[in-house]
Amino acid sequence: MASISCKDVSDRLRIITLIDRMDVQGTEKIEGKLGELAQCGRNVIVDLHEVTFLSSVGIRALVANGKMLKAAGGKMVLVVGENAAVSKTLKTTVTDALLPVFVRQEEAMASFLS
Amino acid sequence: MRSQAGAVEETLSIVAEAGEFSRATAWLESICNERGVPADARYRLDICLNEALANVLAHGGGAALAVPIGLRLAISGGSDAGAARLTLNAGGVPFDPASHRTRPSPRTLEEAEPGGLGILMMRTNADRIAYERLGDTNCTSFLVRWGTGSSDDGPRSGPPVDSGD
Repeated sequence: MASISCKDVSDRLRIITLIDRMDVQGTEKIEGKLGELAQCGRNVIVDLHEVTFLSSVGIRALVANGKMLKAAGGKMVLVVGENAAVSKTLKTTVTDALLPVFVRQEEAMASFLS
Repeated sequence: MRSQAGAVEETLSIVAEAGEFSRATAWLESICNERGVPADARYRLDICLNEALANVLAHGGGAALAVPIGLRLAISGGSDAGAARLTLNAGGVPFDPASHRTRPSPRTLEEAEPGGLGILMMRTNADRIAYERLGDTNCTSFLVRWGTGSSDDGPRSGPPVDSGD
């Protein structure tokens, strides 16, 4: 079942990790917590490498939170690891044009320093 | 069950509510595993199934929620090359995901608005979508091919799933 966890890297950066299926039920389960964790006054990396299924509802939750974070002066980026299915979904839905996508967490962290 | 064209066909009826999605997904996965459907094709079928079900619930109206959703999965071929046709029979307002007009993709976060992604995902993951309205029922089928002749390998000329298309 879908789960969510987070780790604060610094007072400017938080990593949120999503696991399992982000289908309708999975997204319903975590989206309240995702909103609470993402709207934190920090930049946010959302790690999707352990997401086994990403639906339009899951993408909508990511984009909505990325949009709110940007309006508040922050930034959200995504990490996919070697997850080809999620990576392909983000490309075909053009989500990667809205939220920057990185393979590794280190690359995502470095993007906030540049 | 084996059809006239040699494809294995399975059916499932579910209540039109979100709580049933996981049962439909498990059904799809079980048949695909049994038939050796490759992971990528299985994922594409999973996307089509879940997005189509979500659409029925979100946009089908009260009539869609009042009747069961019928699912049929026909698979031919094997793990090297094959094809699967997933068909949904659902009530509700007429809706053809193959021809429904969607908004252009947003270019920035500020432009992004909810809606339309599910249709885009069905279209990009199915090799073909067929739709017909039969009485009060939307009959939508998604064809997914793999191996020789699949969308990843040029022209689509894989084995037949059934006689209709």
